[in-house]
Amino acid sequence: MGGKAGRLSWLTAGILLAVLDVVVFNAHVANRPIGASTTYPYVGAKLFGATATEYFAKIQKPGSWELIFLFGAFLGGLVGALVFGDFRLTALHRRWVEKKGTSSGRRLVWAFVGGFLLIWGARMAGGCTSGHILSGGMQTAVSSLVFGAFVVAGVLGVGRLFYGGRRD
Amino acid sequence: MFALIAVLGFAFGLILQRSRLNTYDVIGGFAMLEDWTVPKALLVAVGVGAVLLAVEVVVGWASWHVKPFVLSGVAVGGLIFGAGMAILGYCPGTLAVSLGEGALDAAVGIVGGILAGWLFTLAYPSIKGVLGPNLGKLALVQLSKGPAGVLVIAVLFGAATVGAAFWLDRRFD
Repeated sequence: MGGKAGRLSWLTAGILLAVLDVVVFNAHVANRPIGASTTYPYVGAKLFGATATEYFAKIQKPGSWELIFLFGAFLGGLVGALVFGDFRLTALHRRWVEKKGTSSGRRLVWAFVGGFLLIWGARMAGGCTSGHILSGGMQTAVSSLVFGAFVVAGVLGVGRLFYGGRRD
Repeated sequence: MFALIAVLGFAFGLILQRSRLNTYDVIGGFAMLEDWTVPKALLVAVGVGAVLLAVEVVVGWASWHVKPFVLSGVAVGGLIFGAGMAILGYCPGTLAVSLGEGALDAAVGIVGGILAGWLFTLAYPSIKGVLGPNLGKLALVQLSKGPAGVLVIAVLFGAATVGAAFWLDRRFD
């Protein structure tokens, strides 16, 4: 892992994310909130041929925007990791190894399951951490605040079941 | 257009990468009650953003984009999303950032997500009926009709969430 140089605190990161989202909201910039999860059905429908569907018609416009946004986010992660020495090709991370051991295969199977649940849930709710909790939260949107409460319940409840007590 | 969106995304990715908010250890660490960076940063972002966005809307530079409150979709979807976030240790946005860092589990998580997105697209006609009821695009700022009231609500809301972040910081870290 990289050193402490150039690291942002939770406070600085929170303020910067707020400013960035407010810039994205601006009518002359994107005139929409930051969002990410529509990318996944958009790409899935394009790859496996489900573009002649009711849902694709609904998500086509936000989906293509979010795909480009996440492409930029990927580059931001890549450049930051290379410049500050955080780049590491690995499936295993410190806290996973502490709780679940050193099998990469096991980690990858659970990552697949987790990724599936994550996007299925986001699509049921109509948003994710960025579209609902961040962008909806700052609009004081009731849907997003309720979503946030259920997400915390899901994270902590399943976190307790999945990680709790296990030390192998 | 492509370049502008990609630059905004790049800034998003760099902020997350530099704060380590994208990583398995930080997001999964919250599911283990061992790391509070995610809720603290999000509470600050939501609170500061609420005040800035309210000003931006009041002066006419932006408009609200509130998502409809589809009760069972938001509740059940939120629980499933949270379950996935606990196991995966990433969110839909941070998956892309962590892929950039070389995280192979993020790459596999993206594959699972694309599969879920594709199946959801196919299943949507039979699912949409059980997502309701749609209670409308509700927001706390709608409690006021005038701009001054909107700003007051945003400031009170922002003070509460930023205060909650500092409370979490003192309580757990």
